[in-house]
Amino acid sequence: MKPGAGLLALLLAGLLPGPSAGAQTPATDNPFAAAIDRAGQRVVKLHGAAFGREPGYGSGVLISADGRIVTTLSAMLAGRTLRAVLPDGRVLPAELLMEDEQRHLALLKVAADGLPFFEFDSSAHLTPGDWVISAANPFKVADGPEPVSINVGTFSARAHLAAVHRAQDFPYDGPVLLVDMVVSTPGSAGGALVDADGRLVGLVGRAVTGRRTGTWINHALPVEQVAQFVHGEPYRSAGGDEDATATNRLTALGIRLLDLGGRLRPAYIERVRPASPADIAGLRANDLVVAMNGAAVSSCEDFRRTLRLAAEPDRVTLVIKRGDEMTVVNLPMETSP
Amino acid sequence: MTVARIMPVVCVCAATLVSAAGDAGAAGRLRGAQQQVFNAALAAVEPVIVRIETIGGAAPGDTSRAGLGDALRPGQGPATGVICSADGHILTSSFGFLHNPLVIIVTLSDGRCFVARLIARDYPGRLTLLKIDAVGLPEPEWLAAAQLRAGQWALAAGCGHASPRPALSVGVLSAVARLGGRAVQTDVKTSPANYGGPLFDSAGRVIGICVPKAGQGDDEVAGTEWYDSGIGFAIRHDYIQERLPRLKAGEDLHAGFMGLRFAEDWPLVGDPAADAPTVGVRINAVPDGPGRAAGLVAGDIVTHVDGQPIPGLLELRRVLARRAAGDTVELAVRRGAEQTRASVTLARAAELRQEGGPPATPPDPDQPPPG
Repeated sequence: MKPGAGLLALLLAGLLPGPSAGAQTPATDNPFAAAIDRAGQRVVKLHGAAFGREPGYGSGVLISADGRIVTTLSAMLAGRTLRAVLPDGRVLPAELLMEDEQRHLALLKVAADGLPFFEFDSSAHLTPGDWVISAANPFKVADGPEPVSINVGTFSARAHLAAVHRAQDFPYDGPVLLVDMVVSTPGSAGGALVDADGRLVGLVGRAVTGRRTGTWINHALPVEQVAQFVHGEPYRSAGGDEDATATNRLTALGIRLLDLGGRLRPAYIERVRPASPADIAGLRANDLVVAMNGAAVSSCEDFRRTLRLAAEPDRVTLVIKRGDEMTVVNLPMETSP
Repeated sequence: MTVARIMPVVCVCAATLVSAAGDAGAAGRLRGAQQQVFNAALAAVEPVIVRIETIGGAAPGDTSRAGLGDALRPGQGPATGVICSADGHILTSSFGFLHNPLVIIVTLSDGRCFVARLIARDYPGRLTLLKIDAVGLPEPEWLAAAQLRAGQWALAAGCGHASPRPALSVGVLSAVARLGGRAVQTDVKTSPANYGGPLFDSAGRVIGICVPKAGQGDDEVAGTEWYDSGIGFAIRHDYIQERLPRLKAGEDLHAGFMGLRFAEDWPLVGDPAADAPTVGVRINAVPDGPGRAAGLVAGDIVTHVDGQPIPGLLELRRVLARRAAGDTVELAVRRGAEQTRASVTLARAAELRQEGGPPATPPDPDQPPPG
């Protein structure tokens, strides 16, 4: 066990909040006690309908005093039996108000008021190595009014999600917070990820595996995405292969990629249109694009996404591999034709 | 630097004192100080971490890996490497190079991209050495093996999730010598997300290179069931330093075997009648192979290898783990009352198989057999 965890276990012994979480006294001699207490009072347990392999339970976070709850989208929300167990132990029916299939989020409501709730803070301050705490109900081990389960770990990195869920590409491909703790467990999704001061930095994400690593991705959706969802802002995908902007920009540059299908196709240039910006800059057929504007490009998919996300007008700086040589090529990006 | 290394201990003690005093403010400050140590450790090691993309080669997860399923596709994501010389040598795990990629692209932390050549592989350590044409690269500060202690902070970072900065994992050293003494063990979460990346201490000093736990054979995907299990391994700096000159010269290094069977008892052979207890391991059988070619016979007791005393099989394993197939080791042998010597040229497991029957001891790359 790591020293931090050992310390935590030591300090938590006898100090964990009892079943009546609302009446608990913060354990002030524990470096995480205030954050844990704050998070525990703002996370609900959800119980709904089980469909096939979808567990009929999950976690959610309170975002208003009048009982609005954000959680991840899942089949269990569809049933008429959806109930939320509040931190004070009350069990209330929950109503589905809004859902977002891209971010995989849902907004629920229970009839209550005067509840403690999370404000939408920021995740921007997180630095790799910072302590983070999850509060959720993995495997629904928290029975009845028992407080949710607390995990302590560290923040790993920011990344864009490229994940698989049940053998299908997971729709959300936006920014996530990678964490060094196990939260890819049934029931954890929708729980709170807070920093060491108890501020909400993210919502624990669905248990998904990495498209390229094949490993579970322990992650949370940044609180900024949660806020955008609640405020009704539609999600803009980081870009798929069908994305028209990328295609238009490639056409404008005069580049046709050797795109044979399949997921991991290297970004070889098949053809350069004569007199196009690419041609003038010296790009040639069979050049392999390995980086754009400082970001590594390992596939056509990467290249299209980077192109799509590039500001406009912008300069495109490509690193290309020709034979064993690496060459830097600067291209003006034209507006879409 | 010593101060940084013992920091975890200091923190735990101090925080325990604080908890007794019930001072949440001080506990909070220690908490903050600890995470700043983690932040700084990653920042210190980041310049020597490279992201490696491979293109082409045998399709990952192809027929030879049938049955592993999609979840265990090796070598697809970006791999991680560690710069080990200012002139562009990069060490990484062989995990990402299973499919003999046609093109290897290395991206430095400053964004520069290079085409890399695969120089050599160390099969027992599952390491691959790459080379890029660069000069003046930052080199890691290595943590000397003598300073390793179980329980000290150990952090890993890797590029497998394609995050802009390497993803950090925090844990401790679980043991300082495993896998024939080649590796440290850690409870850091290791997986393709950080194989090939550094395991480092809280001051950013590199302890070793994260590799998968090896199973039987030379199969780089072995051990995938250990992902994020709390049982991870990193090949130690001292092992790497011993092998680097040969790897840099382009030599592939394989585990070396003597082709002998030893008595399993431990402690193995002492002579209670003798004034001074003797050390050594008894040879039980000498199949056709390098040991027999060197004149060894059943009943011989190996007391020293290359001048190092061999009190038992563990020590023999550890000495041989530092040699490679093709190396010659000098054995001091007791045969009855007589002292003799033998020069044994170590063979690869595959060569032992070809010379008739299975090798005397099963060739497990993790635990190089004593013979």
